[in-house]
Amino acid sequence: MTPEQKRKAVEVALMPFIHGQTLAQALVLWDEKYAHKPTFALQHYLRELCSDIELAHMRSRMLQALVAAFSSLQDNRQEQHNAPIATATKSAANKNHSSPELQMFMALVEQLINSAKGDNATRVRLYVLENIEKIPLPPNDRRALQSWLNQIEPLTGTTPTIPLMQQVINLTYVGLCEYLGPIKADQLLQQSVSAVQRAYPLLKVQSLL
Amino acid sequence: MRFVYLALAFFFSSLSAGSHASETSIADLSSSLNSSWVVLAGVLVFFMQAGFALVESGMSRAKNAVNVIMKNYMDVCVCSLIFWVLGYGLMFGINATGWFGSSHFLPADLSDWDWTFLFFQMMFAATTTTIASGAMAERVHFHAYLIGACVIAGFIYPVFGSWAWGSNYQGDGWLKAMGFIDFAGSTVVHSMGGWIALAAVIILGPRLGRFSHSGEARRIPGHNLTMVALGGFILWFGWFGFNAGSTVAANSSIGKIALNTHLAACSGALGYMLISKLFKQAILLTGTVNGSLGGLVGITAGCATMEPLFAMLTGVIAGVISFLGPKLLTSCKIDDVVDAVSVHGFCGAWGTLAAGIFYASDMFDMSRITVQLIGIGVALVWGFGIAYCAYFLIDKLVGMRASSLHEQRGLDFTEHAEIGYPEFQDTRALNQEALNAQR
Repeated sequence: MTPEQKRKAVEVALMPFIHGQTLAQALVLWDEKYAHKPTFALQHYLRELCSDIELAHMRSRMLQALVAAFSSLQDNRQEQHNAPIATATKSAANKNHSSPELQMFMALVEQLINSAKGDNATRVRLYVLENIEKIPLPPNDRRALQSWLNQIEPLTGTTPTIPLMQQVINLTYVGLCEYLGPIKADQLLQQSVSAVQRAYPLLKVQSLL
Repeated sequence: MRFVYLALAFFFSSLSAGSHASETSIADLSSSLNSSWVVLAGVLVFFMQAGFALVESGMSRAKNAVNVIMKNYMDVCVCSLIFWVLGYGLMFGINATGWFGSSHFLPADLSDWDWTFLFFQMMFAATTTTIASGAMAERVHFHAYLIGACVIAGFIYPVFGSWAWGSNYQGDGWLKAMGFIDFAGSTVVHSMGGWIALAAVIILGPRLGRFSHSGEARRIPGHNLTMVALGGFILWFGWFGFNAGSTVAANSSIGKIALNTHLAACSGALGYMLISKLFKQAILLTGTVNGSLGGLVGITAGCATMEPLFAMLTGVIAGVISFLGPKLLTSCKIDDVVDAVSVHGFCGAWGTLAAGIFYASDMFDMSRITVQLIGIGVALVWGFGIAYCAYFLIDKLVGMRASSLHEQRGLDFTEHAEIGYPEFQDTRALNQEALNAQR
């Protein structure tokens, strides 16, 4: 997503809630502090925007609108690429010469997130991004993970350990539980593992679980 | 003549010896019968552990089935030992103050009858502990659970029991001295288990995804309803020993106690069905079984002092409570996997109150009802309060809640390196290497 696309998404999402000068100020805040930040920063943006008591009660609805707008951008981007995520991630990772295990890891996480579909996929992605902040990691590794999860670029220059990969996959699973429920999360986990195993028949996907 | 006198003297002395021997034989026979009955009743109560294991495991997901059964299996082992070491003395030892027993710890030299009594009460201690295990299923560490079980059997349960049931040797508990009625333990065993369960699930929090962000409760169905039904039958069967055995004597009151127990169970199921219909909801098997169990819990306090009609009424109302209780807890975002708090806590409280209200020879006596309310309230404060502190400490020291990775994998895998159904459980997401490494 380009900065212009994201700004437009923010403007469209906030229009039903704020107008005129207030909307202009909100966009200025976005341009100055959040335009180049990862998607998970939406929460921080809204927290700062809604510090005014008049807007505080609309915060959750504004967040939903922002999530929906960013999801819509995300869906358009996926339609343009028009390839299964596992394969897309695989070919992108190949271009960057990531190890097969790393490619498999990225494929599984993307498969899990996208299996949620629509707004829930964005919510799950945001959930994982927020919680990655809480994992003790070297700053470069954290930035690389966040950059990949924000779909800016594949994971390169860092090789996560197996426990870290398990942790990220588990975060994604927890996100699925939170937004879709544990029964659906278990089903999607089984299906995603099957799909990725077919794409990587020589590796053991289960080693990441 | 001398010979006649000698013969008569011999004859009458023989008569006297025979009479004395008959009295001794009758006393021995009575004691043997009592012991036989109480031991048999204790065996029936032991078998209730299997009932609890089946109900709780059946209401849990397949990936946690083994863990639930292990908790039920081991808590009877752990609790029995702890009760012998400490619990029996605290509960039934000489009670000089009315607040706790202070003798007969690690008993080694008891009379035959006392051994029988100890065995019977040991089974009750295990029942109280296992009630809590179902509520906290699917997210508690096995070792943390067992530590909690020790605290329950070694302290929480026996201390309250000493208040409500008093000493087996000397002294009365202060609640008993007030006239508190709890014949077989609606409050002492079942409510106590329910309040302990409530403390545990508050400390643990709900399972992953049980409640959505908007607060909606999501249903997490159990994996085997046949086990739930079978468990319900076994619990019902064992309850005849639980209630009728509490006479601690093979006397003629056993029949009415057993009848009241049975009627309350039947009425509990009916009460659940009626209120489900009233709320236009489906009559679920799990709810029906819980309705019966609620009736059984409810009648436990007054099974020896109620007429059958009121036993049925007690059961029906308990069935209604078993339907409404889970809705209350869900609205408070409390996740109780098997509705133990409702069935045992709420229904136990109702049953204890009903024992006072429907006391056969003196119904609706306000002074008796007041004493019952005091006992119910004290049990809630003691059971919930001490358990909350204990689980809080256990959580801080060793960690109670299983991690989200463990919940993803299933506790069968992470706690026991087992798969409950290896031939037909979906194992696509199973990390076989990690599983093998644990074995």
